[in-house]
Amino acid sequence: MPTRPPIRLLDLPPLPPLRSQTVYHAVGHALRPGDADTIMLVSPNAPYVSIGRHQDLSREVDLDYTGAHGLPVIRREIGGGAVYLDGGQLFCQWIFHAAHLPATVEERFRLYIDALVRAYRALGIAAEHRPINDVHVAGRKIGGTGAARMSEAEVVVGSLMFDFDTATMARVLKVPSEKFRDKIFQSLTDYMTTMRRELGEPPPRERVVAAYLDACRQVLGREIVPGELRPAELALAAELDARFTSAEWMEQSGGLMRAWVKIHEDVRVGEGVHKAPGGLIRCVARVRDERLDDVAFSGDFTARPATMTADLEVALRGSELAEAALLGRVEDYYARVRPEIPGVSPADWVAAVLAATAKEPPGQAA
Amino acid sequence: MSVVHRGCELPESLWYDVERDVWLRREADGSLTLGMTDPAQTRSGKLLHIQFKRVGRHVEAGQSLATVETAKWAGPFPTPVAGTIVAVNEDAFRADILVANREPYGAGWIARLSPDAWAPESTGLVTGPPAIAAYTARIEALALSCFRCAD
Repeated sequence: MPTRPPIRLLDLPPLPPLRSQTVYHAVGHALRPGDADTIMLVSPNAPYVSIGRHQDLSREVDLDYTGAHGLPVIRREIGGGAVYLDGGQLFCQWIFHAAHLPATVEERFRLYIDALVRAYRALGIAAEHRPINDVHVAGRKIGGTGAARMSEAEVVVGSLMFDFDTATMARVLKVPSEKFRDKIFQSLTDYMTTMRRELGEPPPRERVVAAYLDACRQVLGREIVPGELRPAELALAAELDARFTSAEWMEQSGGLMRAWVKIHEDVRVGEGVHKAPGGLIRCVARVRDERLDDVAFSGDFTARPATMTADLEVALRGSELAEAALLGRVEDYYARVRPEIPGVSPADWVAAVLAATAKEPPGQAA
Repeated sequence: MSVVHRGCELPESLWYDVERDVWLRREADGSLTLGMTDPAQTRSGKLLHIQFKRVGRHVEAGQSLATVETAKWAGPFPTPVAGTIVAVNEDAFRADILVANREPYGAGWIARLSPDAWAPESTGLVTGPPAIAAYTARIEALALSCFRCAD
């Protein structure tokens, strides 16, 4: 790799939620030939909800809840899903000339996540890269990452997770049912982790920052020098403050729909509904490594024994998502127990599971 | 005819903005069809979503005709040439969001533009053997190997 000039470090104090977002967008859009690449470290000084570049605000976020609790909602230029953020995360943004990062997004994440993994390991946490862009500790995700082009800059973002409020995260999402919300909360609890969870207490910020910057120096092979925001960047951040709070920006119909909530690279939660002759079956399903990790049924059918849905949930756990495999397990239950459930056949349960575990919403098949 | 270099398909007949990974084709009516190159779809990955600027809008060189979100990245699809958008390929992407990953130079075109002017060399666009030479050099410099991100 050719020798490159030092990277500017912007280690910022906690900022108001809006500015904590607009400041790195401003540095990205203000990047000009000859400017230094930047590593920015920043936390919000209050909680908020961040939504992805192409998400529909009212479809993804429970705006009644965020409004009642004074939580701002901010759309970022980075893609991905809605997430609740607060001072428990330190955001690490790389705002680089495109030529100073690997050519593909996948390679860019390999480099970026290598720094996060090394930092966590230096702090005593056995983190590893789960490609493409997760950091895992024993199967649990620790923080999220994303990437975007902002004018001439390629930007990669992620977080060092001191702590994470899974209950509020599950609460701010707009979900089809409270059962679904419970499953999201449970899944976040089961499949996410933080420095607090791994170490008992998170290390002091200074120690984490030092570990992270050491790791960045190692993976990038470059000097990192403390710097300051330039007037042009601050002016652009002020402009973006206005743009990011405009109705035009916030209420644009992004149109990006997912039928599920991603917990991490291997785990997602979805809900599906199937209308059987004997009633409506609602299914909330968690998929892990493309197997049915957990499932819950409800609906307006009448069943005997009363334990039928609970029994089926147990029978289906761990199944492959293939229709034949699911059907085999349900038919086996019907043969063993001979349930009384008029108008609901084994195929109806399977249809509900398949609706809940589909990777794409209807009409968006890849 | 197309050249394939490190798996990257590069049709010789098209015009290219090599830096921006954009191809252009001049149509008989003088309009320009634009799309992502094979290196572009490789670099950004599988498309998840695309949001088009509206037909009739005027854009300057460097501005975006659409914003693209892939599984792991979001960014603009820029035009190297100023003009007015006369068509966007919304129906094709609605039917198959991976169409630009599968057929970047065919069914996966992104937008059609009525250019304010057509002076390709003066805007840095290249075609034919010089384009292939410039693009293959860039592919080498990036150590890029292309694959269709559609499976």
